[in-house]
Amino acid sequence: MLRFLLIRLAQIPIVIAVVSLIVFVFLNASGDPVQLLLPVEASQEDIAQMREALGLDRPLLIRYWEFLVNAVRGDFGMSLRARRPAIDIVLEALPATLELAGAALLIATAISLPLGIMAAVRRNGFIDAAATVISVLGQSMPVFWLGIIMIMVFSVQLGWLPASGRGHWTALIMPAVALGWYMNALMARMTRASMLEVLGQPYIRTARAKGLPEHMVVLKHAFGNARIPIVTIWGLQAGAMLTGTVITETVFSWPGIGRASIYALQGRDYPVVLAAIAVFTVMFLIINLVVDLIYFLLDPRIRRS
Amino acid sequence: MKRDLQPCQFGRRASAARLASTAGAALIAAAVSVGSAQGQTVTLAQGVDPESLDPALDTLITSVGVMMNIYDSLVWRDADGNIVPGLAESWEFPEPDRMELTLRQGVTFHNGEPFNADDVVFSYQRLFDEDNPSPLLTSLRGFVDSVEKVDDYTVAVNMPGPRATVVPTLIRVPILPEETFAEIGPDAFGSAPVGTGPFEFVRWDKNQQIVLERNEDYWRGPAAIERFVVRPIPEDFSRFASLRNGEVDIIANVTAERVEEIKGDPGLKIGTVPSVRNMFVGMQTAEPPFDDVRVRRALNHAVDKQALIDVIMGGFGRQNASVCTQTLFGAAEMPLFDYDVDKARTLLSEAGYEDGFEIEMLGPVGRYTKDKELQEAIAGMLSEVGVRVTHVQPEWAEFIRLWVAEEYPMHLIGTGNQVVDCDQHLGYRIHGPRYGRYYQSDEVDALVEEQLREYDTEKRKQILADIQREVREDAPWIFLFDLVDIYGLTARIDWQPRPDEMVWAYDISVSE
Amino acid sequence: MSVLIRNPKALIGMAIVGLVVFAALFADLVSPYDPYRQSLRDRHVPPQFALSEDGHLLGTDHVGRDLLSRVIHGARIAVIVGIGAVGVSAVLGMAIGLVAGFYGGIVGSFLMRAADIKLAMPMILFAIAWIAFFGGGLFSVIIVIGLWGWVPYARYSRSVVLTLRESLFVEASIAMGASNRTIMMRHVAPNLIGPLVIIATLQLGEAVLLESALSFLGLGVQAPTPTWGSMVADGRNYIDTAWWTVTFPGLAITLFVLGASFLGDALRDWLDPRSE
Repeated sequence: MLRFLLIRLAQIPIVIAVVSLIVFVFLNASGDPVQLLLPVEASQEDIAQMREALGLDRPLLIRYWEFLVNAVRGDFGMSLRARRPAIDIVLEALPATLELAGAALLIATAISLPLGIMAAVRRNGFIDAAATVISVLGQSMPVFWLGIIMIMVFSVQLGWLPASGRGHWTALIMPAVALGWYMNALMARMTRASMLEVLGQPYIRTARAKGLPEHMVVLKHAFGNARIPIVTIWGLQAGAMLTGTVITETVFSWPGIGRASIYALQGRDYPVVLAAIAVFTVMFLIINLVVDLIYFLLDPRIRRS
Repeated sequence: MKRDLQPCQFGRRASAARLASTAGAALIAAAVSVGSAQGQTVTLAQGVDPESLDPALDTLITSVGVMMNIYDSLVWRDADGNIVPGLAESWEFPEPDRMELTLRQGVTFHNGEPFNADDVVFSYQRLFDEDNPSPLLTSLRGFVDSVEKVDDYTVAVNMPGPRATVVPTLIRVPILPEETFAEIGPDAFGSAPVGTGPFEFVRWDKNQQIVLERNEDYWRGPAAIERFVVRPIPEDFSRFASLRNGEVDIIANVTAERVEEIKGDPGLKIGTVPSVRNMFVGMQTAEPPFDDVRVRRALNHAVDKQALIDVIMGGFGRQNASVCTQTLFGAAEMPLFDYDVDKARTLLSEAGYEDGFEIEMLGPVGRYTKDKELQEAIAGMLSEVGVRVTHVQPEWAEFIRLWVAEEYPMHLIGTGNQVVDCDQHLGYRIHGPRYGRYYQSDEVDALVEEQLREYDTEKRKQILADIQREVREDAPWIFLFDLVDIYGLTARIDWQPRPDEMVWAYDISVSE
Repeated sequence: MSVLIRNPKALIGMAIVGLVVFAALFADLVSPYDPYRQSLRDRHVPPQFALSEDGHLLGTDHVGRDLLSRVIHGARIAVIVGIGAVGVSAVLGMAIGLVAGFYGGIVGSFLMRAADIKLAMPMILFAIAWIAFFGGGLFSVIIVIGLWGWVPYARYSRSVVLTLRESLFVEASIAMGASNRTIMMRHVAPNLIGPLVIIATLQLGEAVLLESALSFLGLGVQAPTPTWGSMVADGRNYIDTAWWTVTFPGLAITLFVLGASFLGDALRDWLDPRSE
């Protein structure tokens, strides 16, 4: 277990180094932060002076090396545009993203577990068909399309929910549902598949033969064994969710990291982009670490070995 | 799925929905308790959040608009476009290249620090710091060399020579409290600024809202509204939905389609103002095929500008064949290039392009109102005369790099103007004594230098008119139109939009 | 095969995907107008759900182009993007998976760590940086979407190779002096094809979704190419004034992804009898 943990932790710096190198090179080769920072009438001298002051006149690889050395100490440099620590800009946006992602995960779990279980129990029945349609629809609609239609219906037509912003719990509903809707799809499918597999096992037949009530069989024996693959999906979703948050946060004006990192990217504020990448990567790996720990607790076989 | 999208549901609220919305109103009211469209609080929604509220760092017009509610400049421009005193009560020119300003006495910053000449000198001189250069300096360079203290309430502005537009240029530099700035440091100041302006800074939840409260001791007298809140809402449609929902009071950049809808809603209204921004298609006049003036004129005749205005811009726009937007000081009306496909074809064949040519056009997406539509429509029109356009539409950062590097022979772009004077447009667009790209003419250059030295307004207008005539004949761009800025407002808001794209909350009042 | 035909999901999936492929192949023949031809005066003509000579069945877009023709031509781009991206993912993923499986050891675990790294990568930021750098050409969008999805192929091919290496008949062939290449073609390839086809079908829909997400951020395939994603992205600002411009391309995406995943599910049921 400890070895496993160490391997996982060792991945963090590698991922950050690889991803940041690619992004760093691409960003530096396209667009110019200095030209974006200065008004369009800037002269060549203005541009040169600003470039020098920001340290952007030095060779690319030297700047990257400096970034790496400093990043190890948690220093991602100053934002080129706001001239304050880049990591601050990202961490300020972290709570909003965690709130959104947490709510989305909660919604997705609350819907997908019962749906997946019922679909498996009543296989090929009405609920199964409905579950398939719901989950497939969730996977096949562009998130921003769904978001805009939700705003159209629930804000503009019905006036039930605010169309933008953050601060009150009602503002969280639409973005969380839009994001959760997508996650729900995969989780419901996975739940159904794992439950089907378990329900076919001999010990379920044994349990039924012993005369246990059906809900006990399903919830205790079947679900108890199916939950491990379901937990796996949580971990995998964490990475996919990022794409979702970037878009959801833009549609619903949610002040999270996704939006902050897109702004920074568009402005070529690469210290902020790199800090966001680091924070995202760490988040992803922590979530997967937690998933592994849950595994460890849930599955006696792993615990024993 | 499809039933959700029936046309009848859109654009019109059913009465059942009305009922439901009453029920939901309580929810929304609670949801937006901070920064809501209630009472004496007015909320503005715009596309992006400022990077910083330190004027030396963020020069984007939407950020400057927020800052001008917190700070004052030495000089200001009222809603009608007149230059009026700000923190300077009066000014004079003892020498053609030296300006002296008498400062207002008894003004204090929001935290109580008294305002005097040291603050002015500090606010200007910090921009010249070579180790920590400011993007704002770009706007001053060539106009202001230095600012020095004469006595506690007099400062002098030294210029490199006579500069006719120095007074409106000073509008762009807000005055900061020197001592407070030194005390709390630049980082903290940029996140929680202190000024002398009509509103005091209260809080800033990044990417969420900036809350300002009325400065009761404002030297012009307190503002009409108590609170001014600015929220960033990046998506066009979400911004509009928030307005309709009563979550915000003012939104900028309303598209023409929505105007009818807003007019049809008794709770909403629109505010329009001719903008300082002019849209045009630039051409690389140094290289074929655009080094031939006949080709440039042909393209001007080939594009039906009125159709662009009527159809894409919804009638909001004004044809203009001058380099200067007509709202600017010194702008002169120029004869338009009429839409005439035959003339365009004739001109092209005279220039040796009977069969037209292939050309790449660089253009931004999502930067200006309808920029993508305009590019597609212009390309469609040019194809009628055999000019086959390929679009190059990178994201904004790369667009700017390619545009500055003059990598493509054609580009769509718009020029704004913070000085509200023709001169700034000349600087942007003509490759002459100052910046500018893609078009160069020695004759025009000489005139550009001359008008800048001319303090006599009438004479200066004459020279500017000559420049515009010269440039119109040269047709270095496909002249398109001046934009009209459209704002969506809730009915209770009483405010006349300004041409310079800023929302100055001191001018806003609310009728309940 | 008969299982496939009896399964309603499979039928629906095949019908949808077949329709899209048909539209992609014969776009020029079946679309009523040139998808690029604009007419500003005919801007935002609402759909006329009746066939007439010069009508627009699904209406027109913001520069007066016929929406139906653009949706039909969009199918071609969807298929090109889908197949292209799947191709990139599959080739890359299989190469990595097979090498990792065959050679095992340090190379193998290094390659599989690469897969872990890929999963932890904020791909959307990578994609934006990529498109900023390489531009929004069709080819560049295909590559970046392809780079997004190779991990499942790699994992699967590796696991197949690992299982087979242990199996008796492969051990026997190795003992009999068969080359890696022979083992590859005889034993590994047949076992790989089925599952990989399933992964590919599912990814097909995902590729179209990703293209639309990139378009939303202004980074999709260059205008005026009619992609469903960019049509939805352009149309979103007219949702309340010209609902058809965003609805029909959106439906096209939803249907296609739905069809692809139905087909993928059905193929899985068919090829993987264990789940039956």
